[in-house]
Amino acid sequence: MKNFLHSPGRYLLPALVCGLPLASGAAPLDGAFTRAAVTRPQPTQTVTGRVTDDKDEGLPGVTVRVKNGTAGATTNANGEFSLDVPEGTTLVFSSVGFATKEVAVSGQTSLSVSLATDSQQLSEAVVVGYLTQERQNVTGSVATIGAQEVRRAPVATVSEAIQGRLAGVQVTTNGEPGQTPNINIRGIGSLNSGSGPLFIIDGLWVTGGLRDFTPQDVQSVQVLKDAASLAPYGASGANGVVIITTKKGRSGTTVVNFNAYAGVQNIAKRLNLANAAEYRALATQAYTNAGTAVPSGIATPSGVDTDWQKEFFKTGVIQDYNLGFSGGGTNSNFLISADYFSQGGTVVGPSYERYNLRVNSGFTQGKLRIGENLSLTRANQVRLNGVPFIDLVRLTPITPVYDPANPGGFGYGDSNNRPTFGSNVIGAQSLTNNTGVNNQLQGNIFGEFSFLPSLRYRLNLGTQFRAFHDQVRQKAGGLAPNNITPVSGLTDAQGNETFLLAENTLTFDHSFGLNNVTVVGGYSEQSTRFEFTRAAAQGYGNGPAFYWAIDAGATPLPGAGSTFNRNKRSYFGQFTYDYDGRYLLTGAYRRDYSSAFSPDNQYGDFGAGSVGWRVSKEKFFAGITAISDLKLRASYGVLGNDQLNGAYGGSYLYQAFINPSVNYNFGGVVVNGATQTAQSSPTVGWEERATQNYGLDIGFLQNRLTVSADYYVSVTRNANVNPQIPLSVSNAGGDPFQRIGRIQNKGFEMLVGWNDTKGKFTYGITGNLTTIKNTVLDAGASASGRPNLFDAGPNGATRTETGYEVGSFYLYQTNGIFQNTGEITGSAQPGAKPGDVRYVDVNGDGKIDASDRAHVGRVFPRIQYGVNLTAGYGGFDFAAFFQGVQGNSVYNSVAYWLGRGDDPVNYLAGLSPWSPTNPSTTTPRLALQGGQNTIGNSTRYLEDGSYLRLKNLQIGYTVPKTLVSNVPGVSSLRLYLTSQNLFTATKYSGYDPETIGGLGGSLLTRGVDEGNYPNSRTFTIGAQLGF
Amino acid sequence: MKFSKKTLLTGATASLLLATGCQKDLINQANPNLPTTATFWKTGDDAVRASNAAYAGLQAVGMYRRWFSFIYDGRDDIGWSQSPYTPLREITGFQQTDYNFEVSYSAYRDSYRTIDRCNQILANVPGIQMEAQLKNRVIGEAYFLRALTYFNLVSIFGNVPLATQPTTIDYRPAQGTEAQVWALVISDLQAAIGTGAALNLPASYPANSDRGRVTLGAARALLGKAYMQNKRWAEAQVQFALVIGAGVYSLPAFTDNFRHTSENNAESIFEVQFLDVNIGGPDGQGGVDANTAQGFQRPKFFGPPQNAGTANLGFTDCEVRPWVINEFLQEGTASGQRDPRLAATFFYNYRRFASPLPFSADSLVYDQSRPGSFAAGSYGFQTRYKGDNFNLGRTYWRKYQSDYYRGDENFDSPINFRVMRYADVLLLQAEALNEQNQPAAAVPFVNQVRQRAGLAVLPASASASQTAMRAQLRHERITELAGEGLRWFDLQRYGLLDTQTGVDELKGRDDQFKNFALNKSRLLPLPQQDVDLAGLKQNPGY
Repeated sequence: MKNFLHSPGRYLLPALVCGLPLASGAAPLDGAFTRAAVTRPQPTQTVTGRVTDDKDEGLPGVTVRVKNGTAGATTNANGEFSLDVPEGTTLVFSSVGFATKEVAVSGQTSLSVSLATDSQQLSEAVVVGYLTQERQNVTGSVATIGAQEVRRAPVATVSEAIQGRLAGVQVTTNGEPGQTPNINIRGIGSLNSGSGPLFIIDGLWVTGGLRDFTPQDVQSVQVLKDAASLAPYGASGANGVVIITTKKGRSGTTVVNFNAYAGVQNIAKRLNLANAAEYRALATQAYTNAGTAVPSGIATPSGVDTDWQKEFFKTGVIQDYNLGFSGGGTNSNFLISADYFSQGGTVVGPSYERYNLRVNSGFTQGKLRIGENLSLTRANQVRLNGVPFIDLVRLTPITPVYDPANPGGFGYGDSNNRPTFGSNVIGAQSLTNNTGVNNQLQGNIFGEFSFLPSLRYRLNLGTQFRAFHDQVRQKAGGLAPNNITPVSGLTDAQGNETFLLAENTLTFDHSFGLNNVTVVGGYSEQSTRFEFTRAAAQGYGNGPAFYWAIDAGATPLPGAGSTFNRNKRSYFGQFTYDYDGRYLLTGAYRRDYSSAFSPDNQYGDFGAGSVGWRVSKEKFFAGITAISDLKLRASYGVLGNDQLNGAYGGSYLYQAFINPSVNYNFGGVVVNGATQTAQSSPTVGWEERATQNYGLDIGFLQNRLTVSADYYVSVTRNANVNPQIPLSVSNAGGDPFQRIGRIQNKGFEMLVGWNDTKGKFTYGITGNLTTIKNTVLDAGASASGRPNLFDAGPNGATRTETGYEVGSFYLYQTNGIFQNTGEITGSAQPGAKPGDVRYVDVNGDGKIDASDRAHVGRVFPRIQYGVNLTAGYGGFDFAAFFQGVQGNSVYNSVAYWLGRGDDPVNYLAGLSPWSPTNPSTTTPRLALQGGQNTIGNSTRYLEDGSYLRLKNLQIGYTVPKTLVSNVPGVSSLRLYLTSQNLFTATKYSGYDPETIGGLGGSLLTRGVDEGNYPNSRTFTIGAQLGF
Repeated sequence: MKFSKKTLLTGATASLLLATGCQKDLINQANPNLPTTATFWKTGDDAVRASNAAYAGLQAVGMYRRWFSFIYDGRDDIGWSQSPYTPLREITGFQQTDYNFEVSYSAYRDSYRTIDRCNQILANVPGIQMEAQLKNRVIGEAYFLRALTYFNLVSIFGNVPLATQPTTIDYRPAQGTEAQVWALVISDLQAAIGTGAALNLPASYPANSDRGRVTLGAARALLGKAYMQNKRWAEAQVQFALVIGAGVYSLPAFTDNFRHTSENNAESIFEVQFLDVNIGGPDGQGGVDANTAQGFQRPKFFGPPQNAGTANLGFTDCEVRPWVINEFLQEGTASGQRDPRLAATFFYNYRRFASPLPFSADSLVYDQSRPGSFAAGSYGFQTRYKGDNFNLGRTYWRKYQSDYYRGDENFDSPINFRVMRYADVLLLQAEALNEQNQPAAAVPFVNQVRQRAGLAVLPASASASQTAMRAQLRHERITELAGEGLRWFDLQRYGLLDTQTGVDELKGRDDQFKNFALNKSRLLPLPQQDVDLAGLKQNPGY
């Protein structure tokens, strides 16, 4: 496989990042985009043939070219080609996702060529900043995944689809329809929520996730992880970059594809909760032990016995339909793709649906190339209301789902007679209808002009326009005894966000003998404008007909609205150099200006360099046949991050503002008040993340076995962190940022692949493994000299401070149960009673208090891994993907609510609390009172979060051509069955060990399951039709 | 389509210029939404708006909107809690274990937010070019509001930081002793009042839209109360005499003090204004905006429990110890009826309290449809809680409840909280005189309060000695002021929180005092957050 393309670097199109049809590096699409006019040799022979995959299906769009020459063609929809070639030549067949193959013509006029699937990823094009390199020349750390794997999962987003498949990329997600998964690359380098990666779709920069982007449009996903790869993105590269290339049309006959899948989803797990009789028995114990009266609703059976889980959980339908047309002429290509996706939700209430339309096209005219990528999306979401996965255990079985006596008609606790503070989960979804509509345009257009064969200018203009419309329709009614006023109301919010990108680059690439050089210089501007307006009114009556318009509300409420701008300007340069593909060198530099910082802190300088040595190209290596490829590489660089959260998108944090709406009333008349209510963050500026990376790539046995390994150490300096400040500093809203933090992430990543073919049987196994060690090196100190710390999570279960992980658990240590008064006497808990929880007196001062908390457990898994097994035999294909994490802890809030003891909640069925006759060593006595049994931030609720999940299982069958051809118009048909999250092996007692970090995905509560929506188990059936 | 090289170059250059059109201020963006601290503080209007915002601080959940009622009325020997919200029940019973628990945490937090608003005024308004009288008033208001807030802070937490400057991230005011905080309260009130002829604050505000602003009387009354808490009786007497002598205040109907229909009236000295606007809006804890609700929440939290199948009443997180009912039943009115203040103060099950005095409509609970002629057994307490012995045996707060105008309770009560009213000042003046051993001089002030309630004038025996008068005044303050957040200050002033004898006496009335630890429980713990981050010394015993 060495040197599979003639003269790498020379013919390889050092493409700019944007809009370039995929694979212009490894497999330039000749007809469309060959830049240099080359004199064709005289034809001496016409070769025709057909290129097929391992299932004997014709492969369209395969590039066929003469080795060491320039003539070439592309296969048509049936995989056929025709080409005039010199005699005795060798043809090179290449196509993305397949191993490139060379075939000697040797006088044949008709060739039948079969290409093997390539999952080794050694031979693909890799987009690195404003350049495209062959994988073999890449000296950074880049992970890649192809369309086939991305589209295997029946999920809404690309992030979910790649979960577990890429070393060093951590994706956490939950089951809520319309959610945006968390994605972190190489740990967490920041303490503010701007720790997600930058996404680049065909050259368009996108932050904030890709919820409304359909995975069906993906051709490949690439993740850049080390400083050298990321340096071209300096301003936004610190947290990694995910590059998504969408599908493009290929020259040849127009291809029509229709893909569809549909199936069902549900929540696989149920907690074993008490029914009414069991609940009443346990609750009576709790009141009696506390010496308080047993409320009448518990003392006397009412006949109500609600199974809240049964009422709330349901089976949801998931479906996706995709229709695509693609094709092109010799100088042009196009692709039109339409997609519909919907997800019905696994609980009462939420749902998500999405319509996508994509049009990608390009053409070449002489020295000019023009292309565009455009995607239109509409997404409709019905949001989940409240925190039902906690309420499910707070609601008692003696509480009815419906109660006509209550306003709104839903049952809830009565704080005196039928106590529970849980919110009626059914009512929450029924009384409140919280919807969001997104209309989005995403796209870019680029033009590239080659002044000289080695010099070209490119202009890339991109935009993302997103218009959103959120409505909350609130019917009057109560959900819990302590609810705020149940009034009907409508909140209607609309707004839009416009992102504009303009990039100018000038690229020079040339080979001087064996010296190959590419240099890019450029200038770019980015601007984001956000506009938002909200109106609200109350008084919509009690139905049954509701008129949900602001005009229809009896009481208008104050409106709200705002606008902000956030801009960036950048100058950058990038170069690559290699000598004979053996010695590799890259460098990049970038100066970025951000409007989010004060004029003193506005710009940052970032840069990186890397070196590589392809040992296997050395002469002395020629005799080593077992190792087919060996490359050593190293890189170092410093990148920036200007993402900040806060009011107005964090755009103006450095200034101190007056709050103009601190209103009061005198004599019943509202008067306007104004004052400063929030502290400013005058010192915010660029965070810098410095990363060292050392890696090697080895291929054995003609690259049937490939190993890629990386070790990195990354340190974020001058991080914008917002430690808690004393209450006496008077700040309403988020804590102000200070540029003081240092955070380290280091880890090891490995990817191993084995692929082989035995006759009709092909199989492959790919495994990846990631370790991350995250440490806050310095969180700074406050003005009073005390070290900064960040308490977060329920009951302050986590504390982030110098020397520990971000979001480290900081808990009281439990140590069994006091069995008798003898054990209590002389202990650190003299007030305890037998049956109470015993804690470790960590500091040995003879009492248990806040200073006995300690850092325990581990937020980041010691190991994350994924194992992908694929096999094929004839028309059958099979893929199983396992994914898991090992060695982390999860704080289980559901267990806390079940076990806290001082709040009237439901219990686990079969709970066997301590009593004099039942000397439990694990379950304390029940007593509905405060005291140390109720301490929430204790290790009682910290559980092992390790899990192994069969993330994806797929069995497919490609119907033989002979059968398919009986159906007019159909050229191919594959049917498949898929299951996502079929089973999860874990010791975790909650619904799902996978945590997104609290409810909103907060970094500081990363290991906390705060009532997370569990991931769904999905079964689907699908079909892929070609016409 | 053919392009000449020249065309293409021109096009490319044009695109370049277009794309890099270089908005000159691309990276220097002003916030289009808000004034900055540099652009504000320019006009008299800015000063008045800043003062409005300082008043708004008093509405915070941690202050008068909700938690002060628990801190004062829940902890004293009249109120107590059986709330199912365990930590809330425990904080009123001297058993707080979480020093960041929301009640004390937000009381402290919201007090400092209010103080900061005052400090911004005191730092910035003197430099504004504006009408002098208005400027002095705004500054006087800020001094008063700061003093009121420290008055509460020192009474709840004791040794708190003395913030007197607008805060920045790095501002770490020193922790004061209780004496230092009291000194600040007193000097702030003196500054609010002003000296000589140039008094800062008006005696009253003619314009309705200013009703509720700080008056001279309010500043003097609070100064007098500060002296009282420090047992500086003579100085207190001087201030109260000025309030009484101003001729501004009088005593209208007793129930007018707890209704939204008679706010800022002749008896009112200072009120925190509440209003039922922005119903269901945010409570302002995370930051205030135009949608922040302005309702009083005590009525919902203190209200009697709903019973099955009835509209929303209260959470009953704070209720009443029954002994206090008997305190009212000791003495009827001059015409032989029950003290009307009893029914105005509590809902209670009259069957449980033996008294020769005829009962009136005092056992009604939120019964808008009750007929003019009250018929026992058909309406009210007994009917509502029939069959529920637990609730029948309880006594509930009626002051500040909404039953006089609607059948339910919620977070949106428009009733102002009366921080200081004239009857309180009259009784304090009586106490100041009596503590200077002038029991006879105290009598006329007490009689004004008694006669408004329809009671006879004090018998001579009541003023026969300082001790007798002291006992009488304690009784008078209970019947007049129970549930108005004043009893806790009385207990402090009477010294009952400082000796085991005193605590034992309180325990006899309120069993919660069994958990009261001397030298500890008279203060709440400082929030752990500020102990950790500002290096505060935690209060003794915690």
